[in-house]
Amino acid sequence: MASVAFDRVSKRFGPALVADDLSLEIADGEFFIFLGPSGCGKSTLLHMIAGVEAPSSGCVRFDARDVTALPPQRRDVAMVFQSYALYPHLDVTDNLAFPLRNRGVSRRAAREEAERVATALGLAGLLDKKPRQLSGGQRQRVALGRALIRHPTVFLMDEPLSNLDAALRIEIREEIKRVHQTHRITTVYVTHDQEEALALADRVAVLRDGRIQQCDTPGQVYARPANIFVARFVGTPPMNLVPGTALAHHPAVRARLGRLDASRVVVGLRPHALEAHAAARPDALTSEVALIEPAGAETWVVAGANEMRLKARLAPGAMLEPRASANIVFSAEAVHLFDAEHGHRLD
Amino acid sequence: MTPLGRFGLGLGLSAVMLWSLAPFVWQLLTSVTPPAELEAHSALFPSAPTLVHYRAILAGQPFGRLMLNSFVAASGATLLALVLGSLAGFALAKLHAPGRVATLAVVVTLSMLPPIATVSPLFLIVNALGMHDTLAALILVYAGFALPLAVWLMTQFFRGVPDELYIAARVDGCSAIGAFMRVMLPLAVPGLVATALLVFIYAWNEFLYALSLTASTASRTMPVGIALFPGIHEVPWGEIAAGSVLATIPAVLLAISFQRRVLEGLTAGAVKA
Repeated sequence: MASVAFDRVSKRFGPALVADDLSLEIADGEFFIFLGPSGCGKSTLLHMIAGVEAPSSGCVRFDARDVTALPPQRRDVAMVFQSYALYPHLDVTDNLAFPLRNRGVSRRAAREEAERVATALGLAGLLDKKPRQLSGGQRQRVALGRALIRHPTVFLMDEPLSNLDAALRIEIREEIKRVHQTHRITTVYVTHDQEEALALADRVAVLRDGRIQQCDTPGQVYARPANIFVARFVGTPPMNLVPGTALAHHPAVRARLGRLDASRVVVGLRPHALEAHAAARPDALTSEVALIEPAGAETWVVAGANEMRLKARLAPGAMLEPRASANIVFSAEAVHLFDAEHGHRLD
Repeated sequence: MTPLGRFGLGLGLSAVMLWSLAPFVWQLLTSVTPPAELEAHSALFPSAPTLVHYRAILAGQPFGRLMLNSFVAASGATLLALVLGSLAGFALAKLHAPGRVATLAVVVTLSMLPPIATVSPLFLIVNALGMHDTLAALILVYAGFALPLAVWLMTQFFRGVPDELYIAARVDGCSAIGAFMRVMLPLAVPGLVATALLVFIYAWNEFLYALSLTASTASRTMPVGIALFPGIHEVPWGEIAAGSVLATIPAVLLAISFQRRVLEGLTAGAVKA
């Protein structure tokens, strides 16, 4: 077990900058998630922790120890991949035992340990199967087991759920959370799926162009996004973003704006915080319904057009149809204010 | 496919078969034709097939020795080319070594050198090293000539193995060489087999270097040995034919038993699986 720190780490691939003077401390036992769009270099951050990729500058530390120059086999980290990366020529037992055998554990002891881990992960009947004979979910369980079997100092996960179908994704996600709660191994997890990040993480770092946009608890990232990028990226459906001038007349927005110039502000409103009514309401924004989008527990109403297009929750009991008139209400607490030019949060 | 199309395909395949097999069939027929009929240049088909030519070459001691020399030279070269080729291919495909593209370009360029251009310098080098008329010299030269092919094929093969498997092996405690031995190599077996077969057959058939770098049965290989079969008054066609048939058998057997693997190997990287 160890804490992991990036100390002014930069990494470039030719002209592309995947880490730009990155400094970060991940606490011992923490479940930490790098969240960012695909292709923003999140995996490279894991590779630098694992030691398969070296930073262009800066250093990586485990506790107080500088491990930048340490080869992967001496870092004692374990990794789970999106593609599972099971060894196709080995059966489940040998896949699980592989890391132990590399450390000189005897064949018999490694097999016993592999059986124990397989049982804990519900793989007991599959020990002599080859990876290609397993389903996606079983493969990812084996990959989890292979990472767990040697109680690593740091657990790295590179989009482990992205290849699984929706039902299985939830199941393995719970498994990962359970594993973390049981063993409390420092876990660094990479994903582009903000829902996964919110569900699993102790802390989330939202990445863009090699820079951390915000690093905080999932609750804070959701409740107080640091800039427009984070606001748009975290939360489903994504936050409505409307030019300040279009809403400046609304009392709730006016109250929050205070002395700010509405023309230099972007107003953010989460769809969850907006309620669309059929009947007229005081202080409601009234606009024409464009779409109705039922989503099980909620029904989303898309109203208005162009820059005033808003997605809102259909108020309980209300009935709305496309082309009808929606009355959308929200409170001052629902209003997020961002700088229109630079995108940062204003309050 | 229409009947006409099938007929056309059959016709085409027959033409190719005829084209490739005819010389070999002629060789086979010659090898069982009695000497008198050969001298008379009479019929294509022998009146009574005979094994006299085979008996003649097998009775002479050197033939077994030639076979053995060829086998040692070809397997030695294959082994060497496989070891170096797979290590180089692994490095080029999976390690972020600088100058990868330039290296591959040089490798391809080298493979285009005509053997005749290098015979005399190689002859001088081999002599200077005191390796004239040794199998070791042949092994080194063959391996050197086969290496570009081996490096190229193995690079393509290792590229086909996902990067994650290499990373997983490193993270799971292997050194770079350990990951190569325990994960990469077992996954590249089809590539190894294909490369081995191609190198082996090249070395088995090679004539020019074998002719210039060998001087006696100590290291002479089969193709040269057959060409130098002693004739009293004229060329011993019958024995040459018999020798060629015997020399072809091992190569054909190898190709037949591994043909599926070779096909997999040659098309590696061509289509994403």
